[in-house]
Amino acid sequence: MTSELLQFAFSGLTVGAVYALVALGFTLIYNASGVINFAQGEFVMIGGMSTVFLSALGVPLPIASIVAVAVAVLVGLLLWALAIEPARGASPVTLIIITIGASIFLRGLSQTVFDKQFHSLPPISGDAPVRLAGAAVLPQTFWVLGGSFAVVVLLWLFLERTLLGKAVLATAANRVAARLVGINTALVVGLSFGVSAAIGALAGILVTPITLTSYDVGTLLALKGFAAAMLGGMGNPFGAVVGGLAVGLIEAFGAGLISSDYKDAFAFLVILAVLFFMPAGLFGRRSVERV
Amino acid sequence: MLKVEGLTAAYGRIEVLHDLSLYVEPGEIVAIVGANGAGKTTLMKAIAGIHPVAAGTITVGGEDVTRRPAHERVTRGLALVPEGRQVFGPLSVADNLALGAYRAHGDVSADREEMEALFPILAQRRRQAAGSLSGGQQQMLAIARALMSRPRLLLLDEPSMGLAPIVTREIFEALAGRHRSAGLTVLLVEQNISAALKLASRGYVLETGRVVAEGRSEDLLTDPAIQRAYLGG
Repeated sequence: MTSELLQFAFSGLTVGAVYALVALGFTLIYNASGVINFAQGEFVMIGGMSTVFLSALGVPLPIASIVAVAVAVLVGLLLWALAIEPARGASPVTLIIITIGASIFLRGLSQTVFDKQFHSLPPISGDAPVRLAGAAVLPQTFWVLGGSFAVVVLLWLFLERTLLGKAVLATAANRVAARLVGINTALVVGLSFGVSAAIGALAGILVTPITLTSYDVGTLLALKGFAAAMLGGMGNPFGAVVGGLAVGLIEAFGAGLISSDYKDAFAFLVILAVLFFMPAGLFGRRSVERV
Repeated sequence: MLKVEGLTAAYGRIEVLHDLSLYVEPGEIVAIVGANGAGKTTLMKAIAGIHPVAAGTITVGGEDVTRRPAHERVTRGLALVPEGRQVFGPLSVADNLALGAYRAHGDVSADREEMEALFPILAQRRRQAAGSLSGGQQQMLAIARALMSRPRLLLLDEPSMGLAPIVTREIFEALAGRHRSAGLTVLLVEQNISAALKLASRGYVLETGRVVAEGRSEDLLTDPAIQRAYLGG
């Protein structure tokens, strides 16, 4: 029984790490612009699918991965430059609807550019499971967890240790004041789209050997990442990570102990529970500020 | 230094500034006074570039900046301390100061030390979140943040709003000192008319979006019409 629970915990943490990265993408863009980017899941899909198709063309996996991240960043920047930036000044709800449109468009486009099949990638360190206290853990799990951890640390260093990172935080805190100290806030929003796309694509590449990818994996990932961001408190990067891991664990234990038929329902239960009982999430901004 | 000519600005279809003109010479402190709703804050926002201009021109040091976005006006030497202070609440005092010099190149530690000498409380609160400071401390931080960009013209919107008179006096004294020592040029908007005109050498009186009087501060302070209207004299 304990080995079974441990097994659930590992699979929960693995998908949870991916949800955490999707939630981080939501958080970055939300903080910079107030927009919830529902095309966030498509960045994950583009990362996975581009790598699959590039390596099928004979490109070595590391290079294919880097190009795939670059493709996702380009798509993210184009989304900002062609759809978000021209609508500057529109209400956040309008901008959110634009991102839903972009998500549908990107899904349709990848159906044509790629195909409608499921694809996988070879795991980075083989597929012989590692035995850990009775649980069988795929080596790729450690790549997912380690990669996610590295992303979180790098993002933290960027935000806390560089002036540009602080400009991002300043834009999130007070957009007008940010413009008044000379920050080009439109560029900060563009930057957040680029960084979010890179993070999403990386998540997609790391997790494809475990969960497979196809043109439409983005929809569910976006919803689950959104649930994670809500649970952690929209706008809080730390909350996004905790929320992602929590949603992954809830899903894995729910599927394992209750029924795997309802695996995808748990994220929605989380959204509903957050909305009913704590709309600000676990670490949401309780905006107390002296004036 | 600053020249505003024929400035018109509106909220939607409601025009709040009508064909307004004013100027500030280098090294001057100029006050804009007037009642609530006279358009003072809109004027400051339009000069800083965070409120659209419907007509007219804004010139800084001979360069027309009317069509430039706010973040580029900072590099032209404008810095606005906005109404209600608007510090970056979750960020530390030190980070707020560092961001004030966002457009500056090179080492800004000397500037920060200067600001901490001007407002010593900021040195004590360096690591604290700006949002947790008192109103007066936030106002000092907002002014220091603006000065970090080494502005040629400091725009101050209602620095005394919501502050105790003793705090207001401290801030005004710091500004006057900075004016004497570093030749700081200031355009100041105030409802506290007598304090503003005592600090400034010249003033404009704004009423419903128009300049209704202008002149040297002493003349405005002793003008019977202004005394009746604003100073309860």
